Amino acid sequence: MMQTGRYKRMIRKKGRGIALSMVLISVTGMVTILLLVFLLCLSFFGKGEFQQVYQGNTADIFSTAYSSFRLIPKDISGEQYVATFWSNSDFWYHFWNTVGISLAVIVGTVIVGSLGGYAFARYQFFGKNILLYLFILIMMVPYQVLMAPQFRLIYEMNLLNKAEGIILPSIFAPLGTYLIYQYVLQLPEEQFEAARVDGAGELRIFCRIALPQMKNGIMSLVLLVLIDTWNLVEQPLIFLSDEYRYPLSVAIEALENSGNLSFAACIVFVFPLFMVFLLGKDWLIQGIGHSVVTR
Amino acid sequence: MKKRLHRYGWCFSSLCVLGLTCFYLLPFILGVVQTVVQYSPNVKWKGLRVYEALLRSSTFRLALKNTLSFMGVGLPLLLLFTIVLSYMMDKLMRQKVRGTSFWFAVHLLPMVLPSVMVTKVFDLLFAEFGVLNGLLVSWGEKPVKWLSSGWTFWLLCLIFWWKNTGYSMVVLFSGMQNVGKEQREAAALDGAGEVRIFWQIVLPQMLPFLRFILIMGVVGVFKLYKESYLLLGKDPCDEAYMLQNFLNNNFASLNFDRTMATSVVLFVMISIFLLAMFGLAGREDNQRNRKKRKGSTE
Repeated sequence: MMQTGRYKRMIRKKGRGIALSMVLISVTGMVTILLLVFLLCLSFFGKGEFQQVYQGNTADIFSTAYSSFRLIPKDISGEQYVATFWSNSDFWYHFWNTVGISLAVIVGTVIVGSLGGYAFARYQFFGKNILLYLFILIMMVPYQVLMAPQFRLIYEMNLLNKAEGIILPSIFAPLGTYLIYQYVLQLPEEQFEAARVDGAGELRIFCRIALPQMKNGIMSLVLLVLIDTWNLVEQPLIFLSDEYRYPLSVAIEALENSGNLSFAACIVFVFPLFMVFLLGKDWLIQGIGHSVVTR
Repeated sequence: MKKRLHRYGWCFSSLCVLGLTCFYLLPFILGVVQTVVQYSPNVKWKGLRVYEALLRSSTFRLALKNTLSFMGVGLPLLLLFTIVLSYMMDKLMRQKVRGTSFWFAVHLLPMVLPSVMVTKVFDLLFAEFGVLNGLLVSWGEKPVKWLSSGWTFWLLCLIFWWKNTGYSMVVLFSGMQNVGKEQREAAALDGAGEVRIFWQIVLPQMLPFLRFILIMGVVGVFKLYKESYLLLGKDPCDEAYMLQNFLNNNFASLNFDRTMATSVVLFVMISIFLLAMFGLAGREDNQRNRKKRKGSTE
């Protein structure tokens, strides 16, 4: 009798716990959803209506009127989208800057990372542990610490104000190697040994056996790197001096100054990333799992 | 055979090692040397003058104080919040409650979204003549300077938490997958309540993951420069002036020696922090291993 009472109580308690968890999770999640919805709605404001509603946020510094709040515009207009897609050529210019930098960094990181990570995970060689510690250390140091010395180097290499100056250091960031290292560690060892016994060369083993199995790890790396390069702020500010070379992540603010609203540009900017996220969410989660250092 | 593998290890890793050395290690080491040695017109020992001046400078102290207090407030709350959140996610996933994976993905979104998106919305809401002040005035209250007062600190905290929750949640969540199911069930059968199971079984096994979150949280504080710059510009108010602003500003004014000295001070502090984190853990592991060994011999 007592046992069943206890059981019932447990179910009731559990149910309440679940409900409470659900409420908390949806409340914190709603913040992000509201932010996105708000931005999406703002992107459909015409210029006139925006200036009328959000008076305090217009460029006019002499205005002393406060902004009011309106979520859904009275007349929905695609003015901003038209401006971004057609009349505002700056947008596409910066957009392709972002795409170019991201692609270059991704391709480079994948090559460097998969070679290095494979070596660290599969071979024993002199100095391996010290090198691994160095990689982890640099991974955990904030970028600002390395900024000044790196600037000096880029200056000496005569790469200032060129996209290469951003791309080259990013390619050799330690995250790629470490991530692939962690991934390869958990692949089974036997097949590599078997191939070796069969007389396959090391390069052949890497290309034919290791690479196909590293596919998931590489995809995780691609996602993590893409997220970072799509959102570059510090590096372009330091390494680039011509504004037309800026990627969108920094240039969106400047688009506003030319008298256009840039909410639609924001939406277009984030859209590819959003789609990639939807498609590759599992890779991302897996990648984060592999980036953990627990030793 | 062994020797051959040696060679291949070096071949495969040479690219990344070379890159790391050229782009990260060597420039840093040369920079450190440059803070104490003068090259031109003739080689001369400068001593620690730069460091002395740096530690005396009031801006540096302000930046250091702000950064430390930001970490003091931001990190513990981030840890607390994400551990609760990931525990709940774990529980909901286990019970297969519908909609959990959707909310899981939503919590990951902030780390994916570019910083401009947040700062744009924050600017609308919190600008001097922004929406929130408009509301305050219409209620007959005084407007608040959200972006240039003590409030800015808390707004940055808000962005920090929002931005870093997803990553930390996934880290903890993946850690929780490793906590033995049998162990939990056994404890539940023995009559241990949920809270007790959490404290005595789940939490101790999560410690390495918590440590990693703490470390990445410190990195995250510095990454906040993106949002800080996009929202407040190059010169934020005193309350929001942090070490990353100090570094970037000194850098922009071509004060190379001072920037480098700050980097070195920061590097030393972070190394000590990392050593403390991993050193402590190392001792713990050793103790556990010793206990295990004792158990096996008995």
